[in-house]
Amino acid sequence: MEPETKIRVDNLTMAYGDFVLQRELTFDVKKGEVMVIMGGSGCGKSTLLRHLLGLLEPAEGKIYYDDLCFTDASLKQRQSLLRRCGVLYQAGALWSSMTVGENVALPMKEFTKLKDAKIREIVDFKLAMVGLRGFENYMPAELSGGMKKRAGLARAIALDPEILFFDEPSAGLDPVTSRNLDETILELKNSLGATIVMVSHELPSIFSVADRAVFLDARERRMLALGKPSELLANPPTESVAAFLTRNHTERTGS
Amino acid sequence: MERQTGHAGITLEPDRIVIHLSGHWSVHSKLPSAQELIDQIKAADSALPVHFVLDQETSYDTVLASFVYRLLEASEAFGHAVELTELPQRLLRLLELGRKVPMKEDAQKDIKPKRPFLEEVGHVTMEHLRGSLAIATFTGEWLIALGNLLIGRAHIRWKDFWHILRTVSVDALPIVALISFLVGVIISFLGAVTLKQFGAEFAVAYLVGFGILREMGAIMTGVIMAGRTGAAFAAQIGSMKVNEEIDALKTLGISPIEFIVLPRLLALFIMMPLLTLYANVIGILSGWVVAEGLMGVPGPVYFSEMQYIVGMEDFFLGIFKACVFGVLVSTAGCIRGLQSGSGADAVGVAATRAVVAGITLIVFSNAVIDWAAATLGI
Repeated sequence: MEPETKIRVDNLTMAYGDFVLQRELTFDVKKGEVMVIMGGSGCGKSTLLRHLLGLLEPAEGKIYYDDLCFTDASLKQRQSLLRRCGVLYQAGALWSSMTVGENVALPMKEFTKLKDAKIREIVDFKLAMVGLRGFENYMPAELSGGMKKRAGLARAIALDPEILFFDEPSAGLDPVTSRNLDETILELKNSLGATIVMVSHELPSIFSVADRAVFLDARERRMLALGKPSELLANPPTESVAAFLTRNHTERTGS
Repeated sequence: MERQTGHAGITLEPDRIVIHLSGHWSVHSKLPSAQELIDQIKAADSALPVHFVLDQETSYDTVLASFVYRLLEASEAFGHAVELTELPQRLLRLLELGRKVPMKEDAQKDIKPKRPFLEEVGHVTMEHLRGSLAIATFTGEWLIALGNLLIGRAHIRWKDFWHILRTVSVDALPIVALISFLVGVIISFLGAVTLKQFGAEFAVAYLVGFGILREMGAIMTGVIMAGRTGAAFAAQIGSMKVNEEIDALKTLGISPIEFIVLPRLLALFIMMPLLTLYANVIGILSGWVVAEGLMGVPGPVYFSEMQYIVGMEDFFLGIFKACVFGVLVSTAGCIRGLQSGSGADAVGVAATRAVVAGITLIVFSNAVIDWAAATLGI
């Protein structure tokens, strides 16, 4: 049976003023899959993510979550939907005046009626899930880049979201840390059963976590490919897709 | 709508301890406390293994995993063997994820480590000493930078200097005008209330002349600059530090003191006397408006009385103070910016500390200068 569609992007055109970044994007994300948005620098990957989160409005086209048209939804509907989503920003985006534990606890304090002791118990476990057990009293400034991302991940999964968004999770990390983070993402997908949308241009990451990927092209300003990364590598639909996948893939395998 | 409930029970059997879990476990459910079960596990014989059993109808998310995780850790800490095999695969996977990375031994950290009283006193004293040393070092560094500038060897970007000069002067004119106008009015009102009783309305010119030229013109301009420019300096330099811009300068072999501090210091040193002059003029004129309007002191009388009693030394004393305040405010702003930690919060703290230090230094140095002037008979 075909898995149900969780997110549908319909004929989306993204623009900053008169400058069109990407036009007529159409794809969907199935429930429980990892969809990677890939492409070179400046092609609009992160901008697409910001559109999906409602931080930017489309110039044209619509975005649907389940049956809800997110683009036309009221503020209240959007907020209630976004509460079912978790987002990991590029640098973690931890609130600098709060400890790591307080960062993870905040969504629960705001949106649930759980007692403080119970929230502490859940925070301990979420931090353990991302490998940061015992770091709850640290301030974000005291963490390394990789740890900040992990803490951001713990905050993103605080409310057991149905959909997780990752904005270049492995950017700026060493290969081992990056690989560990990819594994954590996969484990979270399996254990939480969440749908994951991830922006990335790191090929090792894409090949290891993606079920499917969309390729955005900066020059043509449109989507050039959609499918499994391994299949796209075997049968690249255009030269730019081949160049993107091959160069990095070659580097990765060392051949 | 009634909240759904998660249930947890404990049964002490002869050969094992059984933890029964059932109901609805999510962040929106009403959930049992883990501590009560932990107390019972603690009281039981540690030779008995702990079995976790999940009712088939249970709905759950990671909240249940965190509950089991807590009991699991506690049971193991009390020496019990733990049996999880009766739990479903998904829950086991979540637990495994939590237990995969062991806790880093030195990770646990108190937010405020407690020190004995004497150690705390010593610690605070050393902090202040280090702070004073930092100020002395900073002063030495900018004096060297100034020396380099005079012999034409300083790395200074003149474009920045002109930009800063404009922001600390022209942009500040409206607020300086407003505050000096009001200060002139206040001093004049003060004179109106007191001097009228003695029939000495004309003497309001002395009060305004002395008050504005010797004290208030420079002090109020200094306070405005501390709040406006000192805070801006600290925030700018603090942000540059967070973005590693300062490090980038250092690694290029450029002194941040020359490149960042010197233009700010020079700009304020040059502009403070001019702004004070401007504030003096406005303060004296606003004092005249009240003197004429409220007490009927005509303009020629007001100004000739002022000329008669107030001398150039009063004017220059005010201008000298302005130069000193300019150096102090920019030093406080720059040093607090350079001492800033990383993070948005730290930049805010740096700006606040710059303003507090700036105003304190202004008041303190003003008292010292007044005392010296009185001793010298100025």
